[in-house]
Amino acid sequence: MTESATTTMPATSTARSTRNSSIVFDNVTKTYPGQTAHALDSLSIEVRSGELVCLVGPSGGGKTTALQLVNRLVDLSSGEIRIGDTNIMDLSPIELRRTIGYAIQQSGLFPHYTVAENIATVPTILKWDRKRIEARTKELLELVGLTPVENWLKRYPGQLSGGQQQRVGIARALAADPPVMLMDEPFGALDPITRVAVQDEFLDIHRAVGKTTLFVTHDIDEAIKMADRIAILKPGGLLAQYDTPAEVLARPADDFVAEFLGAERGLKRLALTTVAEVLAAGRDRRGSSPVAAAAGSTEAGNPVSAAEWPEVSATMTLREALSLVSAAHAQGARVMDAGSHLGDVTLHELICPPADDPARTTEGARI
Amino acid sequence: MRTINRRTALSALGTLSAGAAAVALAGCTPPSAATVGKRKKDVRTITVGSKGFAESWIMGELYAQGLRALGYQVDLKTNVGSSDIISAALTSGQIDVYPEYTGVILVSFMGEESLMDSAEATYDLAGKWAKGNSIRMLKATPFENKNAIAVRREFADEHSLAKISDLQGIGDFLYSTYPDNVTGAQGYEGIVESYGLDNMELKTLSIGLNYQAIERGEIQAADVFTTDPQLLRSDLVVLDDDKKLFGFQNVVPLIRDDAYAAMDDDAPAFLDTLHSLLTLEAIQALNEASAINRIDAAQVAKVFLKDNGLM
Amino acid sequence: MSGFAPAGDPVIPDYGQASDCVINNGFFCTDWFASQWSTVFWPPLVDHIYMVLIAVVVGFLIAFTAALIAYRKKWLAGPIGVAATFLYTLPPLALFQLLVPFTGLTLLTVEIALVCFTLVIIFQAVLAGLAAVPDDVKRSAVGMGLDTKQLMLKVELPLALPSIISGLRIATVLTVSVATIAAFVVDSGLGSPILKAVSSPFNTQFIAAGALAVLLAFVLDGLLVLIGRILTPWTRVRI
Repeated sequence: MTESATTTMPATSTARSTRNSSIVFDNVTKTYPGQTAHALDSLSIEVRSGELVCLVGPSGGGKTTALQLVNRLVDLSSGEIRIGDTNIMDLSPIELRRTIGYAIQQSGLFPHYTVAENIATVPTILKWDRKRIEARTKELLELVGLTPVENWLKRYPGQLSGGQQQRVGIARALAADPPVMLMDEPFGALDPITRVAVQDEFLDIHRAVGKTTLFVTHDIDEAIKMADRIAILKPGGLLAQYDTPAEVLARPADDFVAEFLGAERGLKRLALTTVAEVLAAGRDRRGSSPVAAAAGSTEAGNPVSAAEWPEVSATMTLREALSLVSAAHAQGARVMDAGSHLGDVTLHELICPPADDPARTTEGARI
Repeated sequence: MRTINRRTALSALGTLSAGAAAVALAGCTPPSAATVGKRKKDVRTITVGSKGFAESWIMGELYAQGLRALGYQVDLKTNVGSSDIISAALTSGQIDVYPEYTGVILVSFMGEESLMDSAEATYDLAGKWAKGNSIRMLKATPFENKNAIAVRREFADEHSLAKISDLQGIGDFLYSTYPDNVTGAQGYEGIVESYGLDNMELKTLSIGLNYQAIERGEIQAADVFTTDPQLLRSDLVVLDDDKKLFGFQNVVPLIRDDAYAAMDDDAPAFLDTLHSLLTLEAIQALNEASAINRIDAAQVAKVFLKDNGLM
Repeated sequence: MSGFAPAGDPVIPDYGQASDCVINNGFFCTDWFASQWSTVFWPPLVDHIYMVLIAVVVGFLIAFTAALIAYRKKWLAGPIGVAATFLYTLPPLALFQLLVPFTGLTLLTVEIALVCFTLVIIFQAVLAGLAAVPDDVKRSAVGMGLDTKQLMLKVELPLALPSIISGLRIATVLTVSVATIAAFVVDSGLGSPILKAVSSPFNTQFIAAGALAVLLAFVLDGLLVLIGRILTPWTRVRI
C-alpha cells in the first residue's frame, strides 16, 4: 500500500480485498506482427494492491497495448505479467478476463441490454443466483450515484447521457467484484464538465472499493488528478518516468517528459494541493495568526482589502483558488467551509505551497 | 386446332414438361395397400393430366373426381402443356391418362395431311396410332370441339349464308382469328385457299375478344370453337364446313397400356359412361359455367358428376 | 363395336345465372369473388403461404449458416456472396427449366428456385448486421470474458437482429411475388388462378388473385415488423 494521501481509503468498502492484487509488468515487450518497431519495449512496473496508476503518453506510446496485454486481448511477445501471485498465462483468457473489471471509452455498454442486464453480464455468466445479482446490481447503481435505482434498472443505454452511460460502464466493470480494474480512456468521450464530475465520482468509488487500477488516458491533467502514480510512455513503448504526480511535475525525468507535461507544468502542480492543506501548513509555520500577516500586506496600499478577498472553499485546489484570486485582483483569499470562515491564505502561499513535503514526493521513485 | 396453338403463355412450361418426362413422378408416392384396400390389384396412384385451356381442365377434373369417387388415389396435373408435351408426358409415364381430341391425334401425332371425312374414320385412324404407341384409347364423346366460322344472323340472312362456301363472292368482309391461327391448313390462310375466299380480310384478335367484336359489328365473321358457350347466347350462325376442312374432333381418354392394366374394370367403365354423357349440349353447359359464370373447373365437374350419379 | 359412346341422356346441371358484371367481364365482380372465394382463392392462398414460409425458413437456415461461416472465415464471404448473387440473378423460369429434369414438376422444384432467390438477401443482411456491431461493444464483451459462443449469442446476433429482420422482410415480400410463377410447375399457389385467367381473360380473377398476393406480402411484412419490434425493444426507446 502506498501512503499517498489520495489512496488513503475510508473503511466503508464491502469488497476490499486483503489479498495481494498487484499488477506486475516484468520486462514486457510487445511487437505486432508485420511491424519492426516495438509497441511496448521492456516495460517493468508494479501497480501495487489498491493503487491507481495512470498510463499516459502520446499516441504510439503503447499505453493501450500495455492495458490489453493484462487481460490478454493482446498477446505478449516476451516478458511476464502477474496479477497477485498468478502469471496471467496460467489462466485461460476467458477465466482471466472474468476476474478483471474492464471499462472503455464510449462505455462499450450493450445497447440491447437494460442497465440492470448490462451490470449483470459477468455475474450471469458466472452463474450467480438471481437474488445475488439483483442485490449486487442495486448496490452498484447506488455506488455510482444512479439513484433511486428503480428509475435506472430498466432503461437502455440509448436512454442515458454519456456521463450516465460511463457510470453504468464502471458499475458493470465492478459487478463481479474483480480485484483489479483496467480502464481504457473511460472518460475520453465526455464533455469537460461531465468529465470532471465523473472523475470525482470515480475517485470516491476508487477510495471506497480499493481496486488495483490501471488507467489509460491521453489527458495529463486527468492523470495528475486521478493517479497515485503516473507511468509516462514515449514512442517506441519505452517507459520515460514512473512516479507520483508531484514528483513527475517537480522533477521530470527528461526533456520528453518535460515537454509532454507542457509549459504549464508549474501551474499543474498547484492542482495537487488543496487550500486546506496550505492553511494547515501556514498555521504550523506562523503560529495561529495568518490573518495578521496578510493584513500587513493589505495596508501596503493594495486595491482590495483582506476583508474583501474572494472566498474559496477549503477543498479547492490551489490552482482553482489562484484563478479566483487573480480574477478579483486580490492578494489572497478567505477560506470558507460550510459558511464559516476558517482563515485566509495569501497569494504568496498559493503560489509557493508547502508542496515539497518529503512524504509526498520521494516515495514513488523507488519501486 | 386451338389445343396446339393457343397457349403461347405456357410454352415455357411445355418445354419443361418434355424435359421432365423421365423423372416427374419422382415426387409421387404409390398409395399404400391400406389407402386402396378395397382394390384387388395393386393399383398405384393414377395421374390425370389436362391441357392448358378451360375445356381440358373440366375434362381433367371430371376424370379425376370420378376416379377418386371409385376409390382410386388420383393426382391431377392441370396445365401440363400443348398436345406434343402432354403426349410425351403420357408415354414417359409422367401422367397416366388425359383427354385428347381425335383430330389432333391425326394432325399432330400422325402428321396426316388430309383429314378423314367422318368422325368414325377419324376415330379409327387415331386408334391405330394409339395401338402402335402402347396406348389404350377409350370411347369418344358425342360432342366434338373444332374450329368453325360464325357470322351474325343479320349478315347470314342478308347474304343467305348456310355453309362456308356461301361466303364466296359476297364482297369484302372482315374475319377474325387469334394470332397463332393465321398460317397452316386450318388457319386463315388454309381457309382462304381451300374455299377460295379472296374477299375475306383478316383481323387478328386475342381469344375471347372475337365474340365482343362480332357483337359490336366490328367484324362480320369470326373463328369460333363449336363448344364455345358464347354460341348459346350470341345471335350467331355457325356455317357448315362443307369441304370438311376442320375435320372431326371428338374427345377420347388416352391411357398408357401399363396404367390401363393396373386399373380395375370400373375405371374404364366409368370413363365410357362419362363420355357417353358428354353431348354437345352438355359440354356447352359445362363450358358456359366455366367461361361465362366463371365457376372453377373443379366445381363445374363436381356438380355434373353428382347430378349424373357418378359420385 | 363403335368407338363412340352411344349418346347418353345427361342431366344438365343448373349452374345458375351469372351476374351482368361476370357476363360483361366487369372490372371486379364482388358477387363472383365472394361465391368463388372458398374454391378458387382460399386453397391457393393457403398453398401460397406454405410455399413462401417453407422457402423463407429454409432459405434463412441456409443463408444464416453460410453467413456465420463467412463471418468467421472472412475469405469465404466473397465466394459465397458471388454464388448467392448468381443464384439470385437467374430468371425464375430459367431456373425451373434447369431443375425440372432433376426434380420434376414438383413442389421441390419450386422450393429450390424460391430458396435460391432468398439466399443472397438473407446472407447479406446477416453479414451486414454482424459487421455493424460496434467495435467497442465487442471489445468490452470480450474484455469482460465472454467466450466466442457467448459473444455471438448474447451480443452479436441480438445486435444484428434489426438488419436480419429487414433482410427477412425483403426476402419474404419478394418470395410472395416470385411464388406466383410457381404455377408454371405445379398447380398451386396464387399464380394458379392468375395463370388460368390468362387463357380465358377474366378481370376479377386476375385482380383478386393479384390483390391477394399483394395483401399477403403486406401482412407477412407487417408480421415481421411486429416480430422485429418485440425482439428489439431497445431500438425504439429514446430519451
